[in-house]
Amino acid sequence: MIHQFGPAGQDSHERKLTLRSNGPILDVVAKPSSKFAGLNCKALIDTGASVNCIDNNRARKLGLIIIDYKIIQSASGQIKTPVYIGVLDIPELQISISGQFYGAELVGIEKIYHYLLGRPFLSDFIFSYNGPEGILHLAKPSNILTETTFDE
Amino acid sequence: MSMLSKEIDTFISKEAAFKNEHLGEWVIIKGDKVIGFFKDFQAAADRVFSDFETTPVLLRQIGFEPKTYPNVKFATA
Repeated sequence: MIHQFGPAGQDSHERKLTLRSNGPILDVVAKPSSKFAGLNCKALIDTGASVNCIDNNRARKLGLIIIDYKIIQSASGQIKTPVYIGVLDIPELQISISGQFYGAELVGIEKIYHYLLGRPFLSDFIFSYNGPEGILHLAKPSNILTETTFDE
Repeated sequence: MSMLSKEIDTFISKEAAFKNEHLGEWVIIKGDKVIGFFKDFQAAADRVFSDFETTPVLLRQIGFEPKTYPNVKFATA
């Protein structure tokens, strides 16, 4: 089964502009572990990110456990950042994943997302970005492969 | 002293031995004590959730993590 996401728009042109402006964003429910209640958050899918990240303020608000500190190379030098562990529910996919999330500072006035889901997240999914239609697709490989056979 | 300093020092002091016997596995360390080794992240995460709840604890993969990462900036509207 392929799940389709896209910004709420009246037509493909509006969706296209919204997706181009905001990026591929998912609605997720974040929590410290599966035993805790969740908090609604926004997550941006970023194929350019080698790690998954969370805004430090959001991590503290959620009470995520710190499991490491890592050195991040910035333009002004090296900085030490916490690494958190947490659970993300993606209601539209009806899945829950555990992961490590690098703390990052969300800069700017309007916060449009709290998580950045990079290649560690995408390593378990098939992801497509349909710019002209303003739609993104996310699927688990097992769901696709059961429908496809290849002959030599 | 920053949080997890003792755990990170413990990891560094034992890293060579870890690589010999547990390359690619995940290790949990609390203080100077090795809690356990785990074949995958999910198994290690379950242990952290069940045993530590809100207590900081070191969870690190052995042998595969770079020393530094490029900086990440969130975009804004």
